[in-house]
Amino acid sequence: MENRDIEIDEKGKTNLLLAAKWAKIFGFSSLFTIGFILAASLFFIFSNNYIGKSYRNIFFDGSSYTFLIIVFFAIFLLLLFMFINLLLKFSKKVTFGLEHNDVHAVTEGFTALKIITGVFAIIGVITSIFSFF
Amino acid sequence: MENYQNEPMDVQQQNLFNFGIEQQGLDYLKSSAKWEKFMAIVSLIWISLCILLLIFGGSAITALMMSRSQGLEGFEGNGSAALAGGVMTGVFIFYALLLSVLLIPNIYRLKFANNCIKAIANSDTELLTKSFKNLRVYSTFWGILTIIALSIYAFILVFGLIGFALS
Repeated sequence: MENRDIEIDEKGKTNLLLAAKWAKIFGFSSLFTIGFILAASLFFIFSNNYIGKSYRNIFFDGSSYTFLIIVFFAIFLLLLFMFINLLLKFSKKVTFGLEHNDVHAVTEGFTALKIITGVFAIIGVITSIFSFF
Repeated sequence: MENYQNEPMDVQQQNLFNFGIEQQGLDYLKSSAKWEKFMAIVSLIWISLCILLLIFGGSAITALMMSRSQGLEGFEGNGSAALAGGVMTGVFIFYALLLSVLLIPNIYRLKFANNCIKAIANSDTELLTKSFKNLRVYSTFWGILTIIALSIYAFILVFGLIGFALS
């Protein structure tokens, strides 16, 4: 059901389109950065130089910490990819919706925005609490 | 629709560009704005605390370092201790400034959230436009900051590879 009481005017449309465009740039830049850091980390871990050996000694010494570190990084990466995916979805849907006057697409974009803010606010709170200890 | 027949031509034309939002979309937007408001306030408090910690804690650490370094080897003169203290102060000021920059997007985030909540509550299109403007500034800030960070990474990578090739 469309609510005609409140509308996005032309200026609002432009602002929202620009916000979506920058969100897309931010999403792709973050994706590139993560890819780069992952590639660099793998390169260093498997390289046979001093840095590689130190990496392996610290993180992959066969203790239970190795498993914890892998699980921690897997969760961290999963959350990051989820964040980027939702950000790109928000950008794509809102841009499409505003350009083609598709109300449902804009709603889908706002759904992605709601998930991003909700999930990451909870993560932010947990991180803030844990940083006290 | 009948209301539009009584409006002047320019208003009618302006309304053609306007875009109605679904009630569900409005609910999601309101929910996002509420979370954004909460996170903006938490971030602002955290950043302010960190800045205060850097200013007061930093000056205390610098003073402690200066008093401890006097008489140590390499810090015989008062000048050396003062120099070390000066460098430390510079580092703390740099980090305080860096954190101060992070206050800017959070202020815009808070403005977006406040305006958006008010706009939805009062069905105010103008306020909604204002809130989207703040969202635009907020996302532009992060977009530009990411591009700068990527450029710095690329710069380091290029110089690292040159250094690696020359060594």
